[in-house]
Amino acid sequence: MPSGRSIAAFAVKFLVIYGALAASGPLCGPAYALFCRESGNFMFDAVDARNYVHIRAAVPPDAMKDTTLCFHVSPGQTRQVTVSSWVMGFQPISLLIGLVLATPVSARRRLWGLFLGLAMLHAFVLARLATFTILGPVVVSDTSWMNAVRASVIDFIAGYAVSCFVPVLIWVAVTIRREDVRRFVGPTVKKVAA
Amino acid sequence: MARQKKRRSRRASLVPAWARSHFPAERGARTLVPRAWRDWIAAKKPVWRFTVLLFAGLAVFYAGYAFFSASRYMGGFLRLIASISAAALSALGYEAQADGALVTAPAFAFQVVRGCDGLEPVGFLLAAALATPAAVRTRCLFALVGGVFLLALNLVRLVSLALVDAYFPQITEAIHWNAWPGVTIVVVVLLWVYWVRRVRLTGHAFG
Repeated sequence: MPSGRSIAAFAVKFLVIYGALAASGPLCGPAYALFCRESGNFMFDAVDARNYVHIRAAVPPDAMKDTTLCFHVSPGQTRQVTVSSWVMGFQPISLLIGLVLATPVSARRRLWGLFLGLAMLHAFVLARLATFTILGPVVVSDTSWMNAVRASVIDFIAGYAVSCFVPVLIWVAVTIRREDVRRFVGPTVKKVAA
Repeated sequence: MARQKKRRSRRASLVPAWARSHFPAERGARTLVPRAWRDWIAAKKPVWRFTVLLFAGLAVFYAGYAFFSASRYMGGFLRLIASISAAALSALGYEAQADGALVTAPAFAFQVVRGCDGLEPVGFLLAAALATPAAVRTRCLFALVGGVFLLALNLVRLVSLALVDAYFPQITEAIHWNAWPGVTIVVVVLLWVYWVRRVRLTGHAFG
């Protein structure tokens, strides 16, 4: 069973790596926002012939919400949702990298975990964008039941806390194995049928 | 018996020879999945089950959270958090007052909104407790104690953010959006780790 020391080392390593990545935000953030917009437009142009969604930089520029999703609902009618590329992508990526690299397993497994995890995380980011595309922006004035459900789903998918918890889920899924759990918690009690 | 043999041989013949030579199966040549992959999947299966349960628990929590947020109780809960935060800040000597969900003091002012309530980490902890194969009683106890601990941590977060805003306003956003989420995740993971190392787990999920 690993000692409390190695668990503390994991926590410290994670905080250092995540802190370094988060601190690089002002430097990498704009570049990542540009990457999000360009790759998002490329994806939507490829799958949507009607050009329903277009992603552009927020106007006026906002430090937090830097990306605007434009929905061309009908000719001449556009709805907009402004989101944060940091919350949508950069922060979950930083958290995942921190968690995977801090995990006390072999370097090979960490690299595989990072590769798989980043692939899954980007699929999640795309799913978030697709959710916006399918459900459209929330109309605040609409008090119907369907709009409430739609708002809840959008809130769940695009919410800030989900950006924090999805990397943890992905980290568990890609990095941890059965033997790690056994090593970690010791032998488990088998359920015996009566 | 003969029919079974025939059926088996028919199934085996569905696998092309090149695949059989590339992927030697454990029992005959009836599968295209290499042994290393199967071992990897077997090693991952209990963890994935845990992850799926965790995700399902989170989905249920968020559905409940959405309804709670839309109800009139959410406002009351936010006002309660604001009152406790103001009391804590006043105890530290900052003359803070709560007006609804708004906390004001000569040096700072902040509003407790949905998302600042600390319920989402609690929901994650609840989902983790539900996904862990332990006795129901210990799970409930862990969820209760852990939930209270995380709500207390959220109060510490609010008070610390108010103080950072008073003394170092230039880094408030960084602490709010970057530092506290990382700390919260570490605390949730460590709480779960602390509990899981002390509890007798049943074998049906991690065995």
